[in-house]
Amino acid sequence: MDFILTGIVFLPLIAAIVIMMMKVTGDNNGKVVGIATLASVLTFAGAIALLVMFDSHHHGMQFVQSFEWVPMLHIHYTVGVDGISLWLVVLTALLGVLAVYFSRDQKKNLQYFLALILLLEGGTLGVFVAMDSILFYVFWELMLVPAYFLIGFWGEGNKVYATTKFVIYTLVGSLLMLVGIIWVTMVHYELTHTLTFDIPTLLQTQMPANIQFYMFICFFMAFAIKIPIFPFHSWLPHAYVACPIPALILITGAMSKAGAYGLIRFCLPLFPETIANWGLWIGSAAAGGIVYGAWIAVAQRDLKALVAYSSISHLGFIALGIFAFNGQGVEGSVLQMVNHGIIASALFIIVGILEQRLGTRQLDQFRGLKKPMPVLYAMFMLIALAALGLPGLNGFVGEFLILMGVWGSHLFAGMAGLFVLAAGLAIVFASIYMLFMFQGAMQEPVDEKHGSVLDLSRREIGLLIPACILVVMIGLYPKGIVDRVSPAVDHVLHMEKKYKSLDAGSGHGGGH
Amino acid sequence: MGSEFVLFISAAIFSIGSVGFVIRKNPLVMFMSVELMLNAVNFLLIGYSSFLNSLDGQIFALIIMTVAAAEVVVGLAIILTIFRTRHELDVDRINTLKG
Amino acid sequence: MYSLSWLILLLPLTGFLSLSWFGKRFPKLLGGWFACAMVGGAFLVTLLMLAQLYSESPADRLNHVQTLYPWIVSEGFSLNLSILIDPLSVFMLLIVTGVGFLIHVYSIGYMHHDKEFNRFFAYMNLFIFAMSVLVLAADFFFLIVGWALVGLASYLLIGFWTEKKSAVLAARKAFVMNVIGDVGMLIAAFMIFEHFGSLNYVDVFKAAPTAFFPNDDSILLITFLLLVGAFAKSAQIPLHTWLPDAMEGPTPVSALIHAATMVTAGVYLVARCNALFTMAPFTMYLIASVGVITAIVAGSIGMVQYDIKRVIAYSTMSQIGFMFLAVGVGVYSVGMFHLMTHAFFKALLFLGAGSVIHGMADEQDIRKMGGLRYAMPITFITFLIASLALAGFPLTAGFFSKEEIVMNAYHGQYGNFVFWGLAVIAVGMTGFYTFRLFFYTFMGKSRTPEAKPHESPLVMTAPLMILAGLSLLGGFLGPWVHSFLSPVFGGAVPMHHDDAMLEIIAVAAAMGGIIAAVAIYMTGKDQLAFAKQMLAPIYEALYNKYYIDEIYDFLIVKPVKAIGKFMEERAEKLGIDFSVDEVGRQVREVSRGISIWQSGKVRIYALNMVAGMVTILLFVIFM
Repeated sequence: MDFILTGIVFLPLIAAIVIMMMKVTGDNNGKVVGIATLASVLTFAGAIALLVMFDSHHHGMQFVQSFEWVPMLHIHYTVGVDGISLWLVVLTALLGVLAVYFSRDQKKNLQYFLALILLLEGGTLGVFVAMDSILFYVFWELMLVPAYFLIGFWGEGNKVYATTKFVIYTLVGSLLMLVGIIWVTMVHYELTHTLTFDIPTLLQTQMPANIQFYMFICFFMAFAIKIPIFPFHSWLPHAYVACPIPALILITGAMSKAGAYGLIRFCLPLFPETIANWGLWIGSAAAGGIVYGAWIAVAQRDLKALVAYSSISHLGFIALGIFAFNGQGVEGSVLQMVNHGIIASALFIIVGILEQRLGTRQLDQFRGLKKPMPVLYAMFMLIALAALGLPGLNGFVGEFLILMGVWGSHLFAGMAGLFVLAAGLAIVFASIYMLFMFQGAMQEPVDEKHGSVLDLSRREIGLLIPACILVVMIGLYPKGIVDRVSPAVDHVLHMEKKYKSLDAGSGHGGGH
Repeated sequence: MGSEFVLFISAAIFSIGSVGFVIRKNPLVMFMSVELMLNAVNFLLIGYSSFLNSLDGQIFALIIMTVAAAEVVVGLAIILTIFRTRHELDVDRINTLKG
Repeated sequence: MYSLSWLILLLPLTGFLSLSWFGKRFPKLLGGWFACAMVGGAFLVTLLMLAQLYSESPADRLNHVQTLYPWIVSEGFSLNLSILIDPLSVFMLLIVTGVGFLIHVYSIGYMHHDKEFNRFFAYMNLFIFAMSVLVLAADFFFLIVGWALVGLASYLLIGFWTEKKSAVLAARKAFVMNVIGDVGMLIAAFMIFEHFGSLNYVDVFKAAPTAFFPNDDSILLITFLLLVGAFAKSAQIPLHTWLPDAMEGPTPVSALIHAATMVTAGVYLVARCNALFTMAPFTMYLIASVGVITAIVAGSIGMVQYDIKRVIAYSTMSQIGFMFLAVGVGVYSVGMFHLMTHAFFKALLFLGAGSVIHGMADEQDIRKMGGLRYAMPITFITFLIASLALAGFPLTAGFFSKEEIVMNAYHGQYGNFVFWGLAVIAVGMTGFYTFRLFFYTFMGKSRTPEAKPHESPLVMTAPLMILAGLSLLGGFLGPWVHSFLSPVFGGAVPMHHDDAMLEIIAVAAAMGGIIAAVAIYMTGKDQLAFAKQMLAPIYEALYNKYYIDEIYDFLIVKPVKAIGKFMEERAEKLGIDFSVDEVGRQVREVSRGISIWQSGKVRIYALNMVAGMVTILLFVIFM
């Protein structure tokens, strides 16, 4: 079973390469679609198998596979999964299936489009399972390449500007992270005289207090830009609006989670002192972003932009929960990552379907679609309610845990009330813009010209059904998810550092 | 005739070569200046080779001459091509690599 | 035995799910009766629970918690999916499912012509389910879940006619207002968890008396935040503006959700959390004050409205104000008693109004009605009974409950003269607007002769008659209510205050209101015109609902939108986005500056080279 993670990651990558090499003539597209679908479905099946075999009581890495990659520098190919990454792997695999499934309508260069989608999926999966920091970095950059082409080539509107901004902005962060990765390894080497890039080992290092802040910044910038945390979000609206919807499913659903995952994986265990000092400020930024995104979303008329800004708000919740730095906050954040992945991708699928049907995304161009599209009406309503955080559905569970964590957080003491109030304001705004979107599109009398728009096809129902089911299921039984997450989170938050930092050691050694 | 003489001659030839390279506009002349500089070095190597009774310097000089020959082949080909396309040879006007 | 109570949740949920999934395949009437059967079944199970409670001694009737499965376990926080059976929840459920059942039956007749008959019943079942969750919740988390789900059901039903723009807007307004309340309760839940380490009612209420000093900062804040939720749901000032607009929904919805059950959830909440509220006397004064002010403000607006449903809606607000006054002065079971009688007569009033609207072919303006007593005799009689009960005519249900409230407004634990005086004024207003409505609608001559009003079918009038019976006789249940609920409220039964003086004044106020209505509306038109002219400015203010909607629009809605636009155009585009782009632009500028070196002139490169060589040489020689 050692090969399961490698299989999950490399199946889409290999399929992508195969598809790119295929010689497609005319109506050969069927074969391309077939291969892509097969690869994504098999990946998802692998993820499900992973879920079934996962031992939920164990906090460490499972399904670990490791062999040497660059022996000279002690770089290994190591993959493994724990409770935090498990759900993100499953989510990414699911969204990969949906993205491939939705891509079929892409007219332009379907072959390469599908290949890039699979590449994106493989890269994201790689980020979640990589247990060697160099491998992590490689996959991290691998995500960026397909995203660049997907937005820049198949995008719409100001796509070149959007994709350039996206890539450069993200790259600035990730290069800083490379510095951070090497730095951490060097510090570890100084303490133990072993050179390793193995993440679980590196996390045992007690970073010296005087440089911790700078190292933290190196990692934090990469992750904060990727999530994004306010005010590093300005690539997001451009990129999301320009991005073709199938790619957006993966970018918003899975890729943005890579940043939050990185925060939990690296920043929390490595730099607890810095977070204790700066958590309040980062929390303020996140809380500000929550309100900011929601407030701008209220003023949006373009459905895609509306969902994009609402994403900024929801991703702010995730960041806020992480920096609450306690069990409920972090577990709520992991749960909310899954929730946001499901909800935001479903919303974008709906926007995509509406745009295909009506040729526009502007809210004032259409209304009353309930009459011609009753099935979409029902599904849209469920998703919109989950997105606005209706108690009983999944979105609320995550928000509840996060805010509970924030309320009890020691880092936010004094400001916690304000943060929760800000989040509360955003929840009110969420109900305004979601209802605005849902009612504006679906209710009131229908326009003549849209009177005979076709309702969802079987395939489109298939695209939305998983989201609808998960939204209700997670709302009814969040324990199923949280139980697997909490041992790992617990481990991250209460990590006993094996390798004490030099200055701490000399301090105890005493005197001259 | 001590080693200072070799050094002096070599430095003089090298300076002439470098000044020529900087002030002339014709690439052919500049080329010749470059060769002058190389020869200044060769002269130094050979001179010291004889002072020190070691063949290393002369072997090096041979290698440099080989390299210089290869360089001339490529360089002249480039100059020829430029002349064919632009019908002039003024390095100040050949500035397509301007940033 | 108590585990059967899951059926109370399960039955309406089944109704909702099956009707919404297979609604199109259900024959029309079957769907309606199926939904009724589900609610009726829930009512029967509730009766069973009542019997079960009666088989135990009063002290043992509390805290029967039924757990289904652990819902979440997180660090230091765990929660079970469980429900709580005690006298208060069973009492509330009896009203919800009982009145709910009658209204379901009535709806079969009322919604008969609607194309989306089964969708309507699906939503109605969803509401009953949500309300049962709210009432049965054994902890604050599921209270919030139920709280929000009833908001959802209310939203769906207000906006049931999705092609009507005003209904769509009203639904959105109701939802957003309720979300504000939800957020308040959410924060209250966090505070409760912080102080008690648990969200279960049983743990929290047991620890409450020793956890705080009375009027502690934190208990005040907790109760205050709970009140935000309660006021939003129960349409109390200042979160009341959604309720009148909510009348855009079908009339049975107004009867069920916006009169009998959901809007009284706030009162239920205060009664349920009495252990907390008792610790915060200051909040109690706040509750009583807001209650009595709402009673007066809503009553005064109700006196001048012309839409039959809006008049009743304002009356509902006003009556809920009475209930809050009751719980605010510390007599919880009196509040619950009024909640019950109000559910009877207000549901009846709404259903009667629905019958009128139905008979008048969807006319809601009372100025176009009149003389309906001949055309609709059953509706007329039942409406009269409801009006009498609402006005507090002696020996009707409303008389008993309201009399107790007014009495306790003075004699109660937190009662005082001001509360009493305002309550009496509100009682007078109640009498006036009730009978103004009644006379406009049923008495006099028809003002639109072309209308052909007709009596409603039996399926609609039968519930009317049952409710009329309850409205007449429900008042005699008072002592039973007090004794049944007393274990929940710490064993206290509200004392009966024999104060003939106060009683006479209260009754006189009610009568005065009725008589004033008779004097103005039964005799000629002149007085009316005269009165209107005399009081024109006040009348204008009342007719426009004190301009509260306009004030909110100006103070909140417009600024929110404007700031949203401003943030997008200024902060986002010209601030953050611009500054990020500017970094890129500056980098480019700098490289452009540096690229002067890359002149393309070979001789300059050569010169640089030589200069470099010379520099290094000098460096080597002299350093």
